Amino acid sequence: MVRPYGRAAHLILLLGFALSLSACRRVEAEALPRQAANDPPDFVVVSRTAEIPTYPCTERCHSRRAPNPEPRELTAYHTRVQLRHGPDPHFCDFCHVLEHPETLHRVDGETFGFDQAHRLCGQCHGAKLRDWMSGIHGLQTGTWNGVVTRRVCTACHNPHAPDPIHLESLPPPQRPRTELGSPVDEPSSGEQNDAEVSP
Amino acid sequence: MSCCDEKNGCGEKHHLPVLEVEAEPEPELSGIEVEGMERLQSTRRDFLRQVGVAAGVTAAASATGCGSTTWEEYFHQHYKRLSDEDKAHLFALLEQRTHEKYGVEVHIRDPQPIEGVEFAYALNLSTCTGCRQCEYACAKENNTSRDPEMHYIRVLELDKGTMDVDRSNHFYEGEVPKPDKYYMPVQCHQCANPPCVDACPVQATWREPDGIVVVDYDWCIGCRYCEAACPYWARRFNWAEPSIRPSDINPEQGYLSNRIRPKGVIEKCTFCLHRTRVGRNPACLEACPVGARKFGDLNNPNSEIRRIIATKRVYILKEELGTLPRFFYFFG
Repeated sequence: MVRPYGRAAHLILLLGFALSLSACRRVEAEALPRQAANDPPDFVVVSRTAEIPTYPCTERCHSRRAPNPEPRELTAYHTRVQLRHGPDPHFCDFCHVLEHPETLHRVDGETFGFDQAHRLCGQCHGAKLRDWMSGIHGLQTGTWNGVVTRRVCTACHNPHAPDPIHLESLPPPQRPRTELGSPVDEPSSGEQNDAEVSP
Repeated sequence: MSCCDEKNGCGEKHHLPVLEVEAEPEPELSGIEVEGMERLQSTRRDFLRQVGVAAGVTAAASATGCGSTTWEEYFHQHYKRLSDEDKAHLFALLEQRTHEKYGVEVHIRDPQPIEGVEFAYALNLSTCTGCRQCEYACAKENNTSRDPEMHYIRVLELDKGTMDVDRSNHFYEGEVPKPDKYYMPVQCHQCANPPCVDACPVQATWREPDGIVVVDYDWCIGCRYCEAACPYWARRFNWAEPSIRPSDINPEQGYLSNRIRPKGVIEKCTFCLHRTRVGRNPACLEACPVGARKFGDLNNPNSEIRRIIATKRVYILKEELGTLPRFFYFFG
């Protein structure tokens, strides 16, 4: 059965949908003016290189070893490094420049040191990088109205095998006491109830 | 962000309905001269005042166990009526008292609100691990009592997929975050429409121009009405004399924030005003190992707080109460 206006109706529907989509996008762009801010607040980054005892890698060891890009299990050095991150299979040279491992390189060929590691991570984690640049993601110390201090991604996240952060919690608060100074080893009925009662 | 802001008008200050009490009929004063009665009442009031003052001074002197208690210490004015000279005297006296009691040299200061700044806090619920580092850093910074233990921050452990704080648990232990749980630290929300301030019968607590709700510890009568009025369980009462080891005392103190409180008064989070009013960050923010806490100026459009409110999914705890908190939770 042929419906003469079927195709036209589809077209109109599609057109309406496209228009509504574009309208949404426009609203979003207006509502988020600072997402594309070119001037993030002044910040300084805590240097990572000072925390790495074997830095600089080339001077310490790698100038005396021939670069080997063959993916393999490392047995002599870096034995604790487990590679569980990024596309599989890949090896050190995916992020490090093999001849100078203290230099990182992006897929677009740009190179930089460990203190700029966020530029490497941002290749894939663009939204997180944007949040980090604007101060929303990551620990930020210093002052709230002046220069702030940040840490690069690798200060908190293990770049070779990133895992969710797990920490040991500090002790829970004291349970409310029914009578001040009463011995702790004599729990009253009120204390027992407190265990069940939420705040 | 709530549409109801005090600036755009729809969020007028809410007052609780007050029950109208009918005035009791005056007792019959047959046979007594009204003029004389007034004089009698006036005389009695004067007499009671004198007796009260004398008793107060005696009690104060006996409580400290020394005769050096000054009039100024026990009967000084409300913070807002203190002149600069009064403050200098009072702060020196308080520093001396702390030295006598704990043997620690402390510095009591009174930083003033910064013109045009309104403080706000944002906490990332996606990254908070519930490790309680903020809770203990806060206690250390603010000289809160260690026994009985008092913490301004309460970290709630909630089931994922629920926002029901009534079913939360803040006595959890061990490694965090636990599977299927998330963590919501709760502290004073520094409301723009604070119910605690409305509840105080003696105006010992008020909201400062930079948005921080403070307590004059020497004016507080300890009635705990504000504690009952706060929907965020943010106020704490000193049931006993606060006990802190001298080595644990933070010597950088603010008169309205972290000076050592006496027994019988209310205290609460002040966004570390002795730090934040001089440009530093609150202690809880600096202690957070995952960077879940963000602090800044709500009036500055380039601050992180404003960026978070503009770009993230922001959650306001108990928004329906109209308290207009300056503490925002977000997911990011």
